[in-house]
Amino acid sequence: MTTANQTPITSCLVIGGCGFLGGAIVRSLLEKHPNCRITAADIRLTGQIAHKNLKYVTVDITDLASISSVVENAKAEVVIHTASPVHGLGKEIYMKVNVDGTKNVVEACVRGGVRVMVYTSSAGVVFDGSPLVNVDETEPFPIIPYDAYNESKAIAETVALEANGKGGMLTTALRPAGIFGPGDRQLVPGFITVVKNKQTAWQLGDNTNLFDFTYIDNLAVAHILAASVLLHQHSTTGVTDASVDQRKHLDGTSIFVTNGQPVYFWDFAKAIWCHYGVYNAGSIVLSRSAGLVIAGLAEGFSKLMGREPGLTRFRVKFSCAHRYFDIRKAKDLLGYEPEVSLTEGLRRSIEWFKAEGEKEGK
Amino acid sequence: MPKFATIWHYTTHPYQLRAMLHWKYLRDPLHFRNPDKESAELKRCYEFLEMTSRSFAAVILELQPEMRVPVALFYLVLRGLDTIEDDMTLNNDVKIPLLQNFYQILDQPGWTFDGNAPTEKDRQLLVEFDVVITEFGKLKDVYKDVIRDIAKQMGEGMAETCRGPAKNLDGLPLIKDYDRYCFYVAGLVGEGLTRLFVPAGVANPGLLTRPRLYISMGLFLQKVNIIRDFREDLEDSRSFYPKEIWGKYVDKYTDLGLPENEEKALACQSDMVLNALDHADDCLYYLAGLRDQSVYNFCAIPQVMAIATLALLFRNPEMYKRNIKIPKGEACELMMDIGNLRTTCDTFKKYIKVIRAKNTPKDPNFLEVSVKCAKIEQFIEGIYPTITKKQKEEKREKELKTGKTVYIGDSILPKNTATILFLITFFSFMFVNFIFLAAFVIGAEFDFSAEAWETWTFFKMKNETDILQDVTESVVEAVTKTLTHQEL
Repeated sequence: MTTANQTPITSCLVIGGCGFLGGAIVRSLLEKHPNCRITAADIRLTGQIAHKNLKYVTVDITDLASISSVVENAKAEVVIHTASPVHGLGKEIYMKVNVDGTKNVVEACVRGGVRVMVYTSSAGVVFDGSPLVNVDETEPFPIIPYDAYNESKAIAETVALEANGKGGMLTTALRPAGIFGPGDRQLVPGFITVVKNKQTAWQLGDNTNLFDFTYIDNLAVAHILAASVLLHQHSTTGVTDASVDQRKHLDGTSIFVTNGQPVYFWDFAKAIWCHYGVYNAGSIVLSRSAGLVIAGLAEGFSKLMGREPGLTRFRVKFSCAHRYFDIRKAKDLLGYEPEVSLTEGLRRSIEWFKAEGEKEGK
Repeated sequence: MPKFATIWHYTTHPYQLRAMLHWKYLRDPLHFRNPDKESAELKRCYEFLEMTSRSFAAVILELQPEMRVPVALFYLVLRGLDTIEDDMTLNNDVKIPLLQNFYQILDQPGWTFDGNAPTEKDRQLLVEFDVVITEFGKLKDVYKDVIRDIAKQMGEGMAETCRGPAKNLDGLPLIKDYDRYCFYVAGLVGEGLTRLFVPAGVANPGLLTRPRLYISMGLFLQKVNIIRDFREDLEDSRSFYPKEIWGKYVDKYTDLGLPENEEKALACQSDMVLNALDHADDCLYYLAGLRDQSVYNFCAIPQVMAIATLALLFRNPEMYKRNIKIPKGEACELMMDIGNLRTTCDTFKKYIKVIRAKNTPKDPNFLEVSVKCAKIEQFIEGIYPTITKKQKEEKREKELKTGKTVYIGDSILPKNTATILFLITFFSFMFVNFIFLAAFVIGAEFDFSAEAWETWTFFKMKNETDILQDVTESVVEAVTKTLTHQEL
């Protein structure tokens, strides 16, 4: 399946290889690069796949010695670094894992003579609360970061990209938005909770805002494409001069990756809910401003009661603002074409969640 | 007398009524014909144009002079081919050679054909086809070559269809076949027109290197017509819906028209609409390459009509019962507002909204339709960004100065003229109310007795002072107080 500007990957280390994304990358590699020797490293090893070309090791990227020895032992030409803590934790942990951890990974890779490093960043690095309308890679980081998570991802991305050219190593950073799929613990489950709480009648805002989502397997493929394009470049032209337009080359630059199918936020929600028999969702429309007032009250009330508020001002703003991207760079430079459509991706996710629910029920 | 429904429609859609009156009485065409300089044959050609297609004739006749004759003749040549292909009474032995050799006929002065069935609606065009041939002979060679070549390809395509399996009610088998059929009858027209426009300097030559765009121009129109004509085609025992689509919903094509299958038929319809919408952004892209206003209008008007029709058809069960059309007023409004690419994009967005409003999770194509609508919006956003670079720069500058996040949002001022008119009326009304209330407060009496009606003096002051002056003074005082916060 490789084309002219891609080189097959013969050895690869996937950091965070047991995670939601890392696991998908490992499976994709097994399928698309059957001769590739894979090392999957993670802090805890779960859901291991038995395969002759695949080996699992534990790693703590906040410990330079640990990651260095893993990189050294893996002897991989490509390192894909996907490890990152989930949302909703403290600033300290984000800085430690995302920033310091990525510095350690970079150092270990340079020392270990790795050729290509692909870093999983986040589309959130350009988010500061304002709508993101058809944004491309020319969009700078915000002056004031939105929160600690996005700030730490932006710094880590810079660390990864600045390593481009060190010891001949080529690096790139992928910025996915709204990752979902079987095994996702955040996005689709959030919508399913709404069905369980019977809150689907409510719709915030007029549903004109577009949102980008990314099916996990497509994102995994994009990582592999990026790696093999850079691998090809490593053996041909090498590092690109920094003066070249950043939209024209991959190394040392970031790249947005989504399903390329932005969709109206509440339509996505409704598409999930109709799998649960809810066809009349969003019959009560609450305007954005009314939503903000109610959410403010809800937050205050929950604070008094010491509970987690269901509706927060963040959720209101988030579900009423555009948040979609122009992924032409990924299409042009990676030859990326999402193989799994939004509809099909959702179908597969829901099937998985329903099966999981049955398992738990038994 | 117009029907009550029609009157009601225009009462609730005054813009359309206004557009219709404008279009009819107040509009100057971009370019006028000059009948004194036209030959008798050309005049006859234009008459045929008006006979065969009212809607196309209007836009063709307003084309700039260099393009008007070639486009009009191109249209008539294709009409001629169509009239032969359409006629079910013609034997294949006659029909197929005629279709295949039609491009050569264009260079045979005096050729006419009266073999069509008397019921064939454009048969007269072929009876007098020599006028078309005469005018064709006067065209520049570049235009002749294009028209001949397209007539040849289209004739070949039509002959192939004739040789294929007899037309039945299964429609075309695959989406691929559906696209191929639409290419022969409409995509080729897009190709031909582009090849006429570019040498005349009225279109960007880049359009010739992007076949996908000009093919989409034709396919979009053709597919909308095919979807809309379900009932009409069924009555003529024809169908063009690909089985690959309708087969997902019903077992037999005719089942689509049965009332008990309404939900399935609507799902099939939304699938067809989805398929047609695929071409919408290509059409906008193509329109961006046109350089002359009259050519732009000629190309864009059918496209906006198509998107409006598509919005009307989407999830509309009426379509399976009768031939539905957009109201005339709406069509006039679309033609009046054609303007430029920006307004055309706005029109597309407007109808995308209509489609979205009818989209429902009950439809199996719900998410796909939503994604497709969004795709068109994203495409338009790429040409006309809603947040400008300047806005973004200003935001960053402010943030650097103040250290606080500046949110970019929509302005609160309404953009819609109707809303503004309503607000003006509302505030004028409130103002008059306020004056009366003020008059009442300072002691005016309202008198509606029989005598008052005779003299029309409904207001009286208890103390006989000048009521108008009093009211004015108190209003001025109240306003100044409020503005200067004196009372605080």
